[in-house]
Amino acid sequence: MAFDLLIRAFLAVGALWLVLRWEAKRGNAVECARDLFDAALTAGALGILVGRIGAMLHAGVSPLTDPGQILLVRSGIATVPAAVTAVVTLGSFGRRHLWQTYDAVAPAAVAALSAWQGSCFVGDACLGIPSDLPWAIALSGSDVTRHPVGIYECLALAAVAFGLVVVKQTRRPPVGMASGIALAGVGVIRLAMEPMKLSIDGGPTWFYALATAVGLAVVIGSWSRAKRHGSIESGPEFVGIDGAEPRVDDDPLDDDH
Amino acid sequence: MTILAAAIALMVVGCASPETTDPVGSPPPETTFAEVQALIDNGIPTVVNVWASWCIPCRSEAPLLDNAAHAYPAVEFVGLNVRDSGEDAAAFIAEFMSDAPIEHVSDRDGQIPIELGGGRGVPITFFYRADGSVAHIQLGVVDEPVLATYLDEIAR
Repeated sequence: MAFDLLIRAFLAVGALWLVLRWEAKRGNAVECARDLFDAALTAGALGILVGRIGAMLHAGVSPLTDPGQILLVRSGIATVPAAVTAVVTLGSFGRRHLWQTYDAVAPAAVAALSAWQGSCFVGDACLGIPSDLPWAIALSGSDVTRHPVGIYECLALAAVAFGLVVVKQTRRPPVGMASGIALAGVGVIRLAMEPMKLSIDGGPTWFYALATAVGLAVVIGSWSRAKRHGSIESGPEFVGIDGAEPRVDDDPLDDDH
Repeated sequence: MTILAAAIALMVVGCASPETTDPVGSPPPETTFAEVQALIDNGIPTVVNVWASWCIPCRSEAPLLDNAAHAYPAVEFVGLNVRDSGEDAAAFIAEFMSDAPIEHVSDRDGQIPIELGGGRGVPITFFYRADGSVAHIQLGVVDEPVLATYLDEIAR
């Protein structure tokens, strides 16, 4: 389908928006939901741009001699530079409350990834290696049934996102905990799915393993820091992504600071 | 200081080296629909990629096809160059797919993709099973998930 990537991007952005709004309604560190949405969207867009340039360089194509190709995101985005750029950009927006910013965006970002994966049917990007399992799916006109890897990944990521929202609401985890769980969760899911996926070059499994390790380190660091201080530092007091004190209105999404 | 001197010496040697030019091979030979159909019906899974040197999306997918052709030696890759000059086509192959195991042929009028069931646009990628049946026709740029999925499909 010609506009499959656009449709999938809209669904991912929609999921990001919906979860931030849901978190706002539940009072999870979201007085600046609109700021967070803008920041996450900008970080994602910049990540895609850098990832696209990275993929071009990897393929031996210079973005200086072929600048038009930067727009052809379908031709590939390098995962590592894209993810690192998105995380660093988001961190730079919320540098005065770095971990609170990451915690605030983490569930919505994981939900956006889930929506992206879940909409894989739009672009023939769902299926992986052959399988005889009852829920395996065949391509049109084929008798070879395959793992619907995109759906597995969608469901696993959705479970992580939902769990994060609930944990943030009910447990008030220490600062950094939600970010660490999200990072480790996404890393583990990508690692688990990789053997079932079909690809030409293979995915950056080392990067997924590194993300998992870093995520776990953040979780442990967050937990031990909270324990050392004898109390938890939960996130609800966070808020202005630029460090400004938030205004608390009835509808946080109408807040325009 | 020694490092600086060595660097300057290297630069001088580099500058003094004879100028090299990219070797541009011969243009892909002109073909017919029957010849392309014979390639498809040869009992081997086949990918036919329709491209042109003036097509920017074709440039972007060429490295991916190059990798795929190396990764799937059991699949025959055919590059069908359309509505192009021989010189430009040869330069494109030299720049993007010089060492790829892809058999390039040329269709100056661009009629063969239409007869194969595609269209006039480029790029188009046809995936054929070993029995000659078509598994998928990708209109526009082919991305890695689609390429990997249908290569796995036709290679079975």
